[in-house]
Amino acid sequence: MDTQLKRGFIETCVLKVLEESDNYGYQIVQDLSGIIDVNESTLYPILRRLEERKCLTIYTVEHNGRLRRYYKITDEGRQEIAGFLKDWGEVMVAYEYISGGKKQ
Amino acid sequence: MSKHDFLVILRDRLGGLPEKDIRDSLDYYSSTIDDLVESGKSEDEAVRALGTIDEVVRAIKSDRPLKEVVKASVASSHWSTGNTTLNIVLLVLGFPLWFPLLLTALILVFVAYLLVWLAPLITWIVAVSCAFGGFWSLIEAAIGVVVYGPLQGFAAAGAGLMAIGLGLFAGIGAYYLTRYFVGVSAKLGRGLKGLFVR
Repeated sequence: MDTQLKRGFIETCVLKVLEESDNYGYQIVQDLSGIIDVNESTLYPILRRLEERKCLTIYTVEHNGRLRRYYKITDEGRQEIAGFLKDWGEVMVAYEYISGGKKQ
Repeated sequence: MSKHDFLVILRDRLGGLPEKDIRDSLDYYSSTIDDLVESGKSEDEAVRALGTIDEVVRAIKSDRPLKEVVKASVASSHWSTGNTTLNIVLLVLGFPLWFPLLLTALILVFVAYLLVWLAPLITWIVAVSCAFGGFWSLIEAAIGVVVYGPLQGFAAAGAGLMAIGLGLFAGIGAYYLTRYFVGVSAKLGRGLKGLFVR
């Protein structure tokens, strides 16, 4: 898959996980396993980009005597998901046509 | 490798990036290793699950601006003494050595780009000159019919049409060559960035 395209997919998948509930790195990777190929290392730059684009915020919670950072989706993040669904809705119409599933 | 060793090596390899970015990366990886350990892995397995140090460094640097990456790369390279004043003194003293080397490298990059673009450029020139020449022959043909007679006129018109046809073919070729070489140039650019992202 095209790198840029894949990056967009992973970013939106991460936002979707966070839309369900606030979450932390390790658990995000677990939730996405089987959906898209991402590990703890490749997740890091994605979380940073999303933070820079203000799609998520970070806060820390004390857990077992250490600090664990949680990621929380923002309104910009939710808009990003909505934008993705709108764009890909259009793509899917074209896909149906190209794959011959539904004649226009 | 233990978590502590991993973080020490990582900090060293990220040297040169803004301190805030280093802090942020170390926090993330430290926290992630703790979570992996909590899930039942040993510390060694947790560190290995993150990939090699090279992969981790590449992931961290992958979305940093080229300027920062180059700065970090220079700072963490073996060419740096770690002391800014000494670095500057050595840079000045070494000027006769590194300046020609840098100049050569820049010229090589420039020549590589030039060579890459030479093929489409020549094809475009052929296309445009054939098309112009062809049109000019047609105009001459019209004059030739009157001045020299129909035979010379038709011959000129035929040559003109042939040249226009050739120009069209060359134009199509040039279009595809240009598209292809835009891709090659982009790869060359990414290759240059790759020299700094290790």
